[in-house]
Amino acid sequence: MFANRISQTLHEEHRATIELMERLETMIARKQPLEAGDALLRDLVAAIDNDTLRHFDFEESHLFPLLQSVGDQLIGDHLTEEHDAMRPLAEKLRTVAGAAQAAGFDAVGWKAFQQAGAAFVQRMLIHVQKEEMALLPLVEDMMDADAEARLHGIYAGASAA
Amino acid sequence: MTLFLASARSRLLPASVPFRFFAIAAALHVALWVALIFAAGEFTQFRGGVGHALGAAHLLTVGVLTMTAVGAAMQLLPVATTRPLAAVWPTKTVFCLLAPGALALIFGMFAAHVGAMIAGATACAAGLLLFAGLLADNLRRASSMPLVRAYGWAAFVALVLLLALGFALALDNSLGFLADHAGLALVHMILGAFGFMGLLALGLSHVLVPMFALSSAPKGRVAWAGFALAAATVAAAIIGALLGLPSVLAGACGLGFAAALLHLWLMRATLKSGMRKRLGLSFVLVRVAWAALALTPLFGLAALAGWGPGGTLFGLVALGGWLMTFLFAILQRIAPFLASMHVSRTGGGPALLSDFSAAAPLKVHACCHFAALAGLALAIVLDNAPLAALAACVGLAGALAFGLFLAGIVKTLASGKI
Repeated sequence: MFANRISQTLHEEHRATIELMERLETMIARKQPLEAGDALLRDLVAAIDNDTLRHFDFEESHLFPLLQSVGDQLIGDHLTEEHDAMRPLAEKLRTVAGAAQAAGFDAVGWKAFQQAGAAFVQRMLIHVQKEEMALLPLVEDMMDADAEARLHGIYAGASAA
Repeated sequence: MTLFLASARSRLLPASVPFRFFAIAAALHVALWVALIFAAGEFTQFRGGVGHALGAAHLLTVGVLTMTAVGAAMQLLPVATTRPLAAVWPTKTVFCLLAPGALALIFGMFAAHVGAMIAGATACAAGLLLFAGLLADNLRRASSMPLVRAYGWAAFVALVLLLALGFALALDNSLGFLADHAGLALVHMILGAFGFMGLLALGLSHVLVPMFALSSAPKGRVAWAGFALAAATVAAAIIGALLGLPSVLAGACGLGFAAALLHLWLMRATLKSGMRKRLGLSFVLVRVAWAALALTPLFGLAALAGWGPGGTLFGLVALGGWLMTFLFAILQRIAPFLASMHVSRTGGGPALLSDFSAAAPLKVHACCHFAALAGLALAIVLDNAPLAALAACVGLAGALAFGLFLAGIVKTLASGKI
């Protein structure tokens, strides 16, 4: 879909994220808590640990400064504000899901998971929507080949770490 | 979208601007169903002419559909074309002309008061001409999304013709200078429902559906063929109505059916390739609206073939089934999103969409809306006025529920904090 490898990589991560958010959205609507061994808990913890926060950090450390250097500061500021609202939710979800993987959910834990999950899903869906419609096309248009190669190397290195 | 985001909140229209259009549309939506309760006797056989049914039809077309479309277009077009509006005051002026104009026009139709009709039509025409000017200015400055711009220009042309004809029809009630008032009223209906509103709805679908589904907008020859078919449908229907040629009107129905199927194929492909699969209640309404879009030309053909209730059903399916259902589906998505851009949380961070939108009123609205439309269709087929009145009562309950949903958003917006 995107010729630029940074845009394409972020786009593929968005697709995986939306798929996970839709699974989470379906599950938190249930009255009955998830089982400790439910695959969603495992996938959610893995995604937050390995993908979500790394994705945010890469954008804030490398992509938004590049946009700022060509005069597009406000888009980075706006998306960083959304990252800031999602980080505590991701950490809370990760903590609650991690605990539930070990010992299952009690009523209080399930309620906390549902609340944090609902807020996280809403924020993430809107956030991905904005990045897909605004950020990725902008990166595709403005990034030269050198910057693409350099940032792709950095992001691939961060993914492998 | 880039400009929209890059300018963050600073260049969004003030929330009060689009929401004043949405609020009056929601209020007139309630009035529409009340009017239908009282106009039920005329409605089941409505074929035009001044009276309660014509007033109810204009409550829907001018009061609900146009008001919503103008409010939404003024906010969404700058997003689609990435060209902000030059100033805010002209949009406020559109409202100041359109809202009282619509009320006067509708009152004139209900009361058979020619002076009120002419005054209302004048104010509506002035407001909508100003809107057409704003639309043209935005489209002229845009360079992206050529297909959406093509739909926008076609809708612009239809709007200008619609206004000229609407004004002439209002004057004709007093002066009687038009040779074929009924034929031109049909052209006016075609220009309004399929030219202005229809092409605008089809064009904005190429922005909104991909945005909601997280998908790419339709591109290439097939997408342009969809536009060409839709525009050709409107042109053929106008020629057929102007010349009074049923064969040309039937041809327009055939073209319209092909255009509708192609549009649905493009939208299906958009949804299929989209990341977002769970699109919620609003897309149940969108799918029903699309079904009504495809059925509309078939009811047109039925009317041309002489089936008694065909003409009234054609109007109901086009205006109620397709356009009204589609606009309320979109409005329930964009109103909380726009509001969330203007309100911050007391605890910090951007607002959540769920801070604005309660699910229950929207569910009530959807159920009542579908039941009311089905009831009205049955009432038309059976020519049963009490059934039409009952269906209108159900529609009224839905309209009140939708009003409650929108009032909740406006209340939160007014407070500025959650």
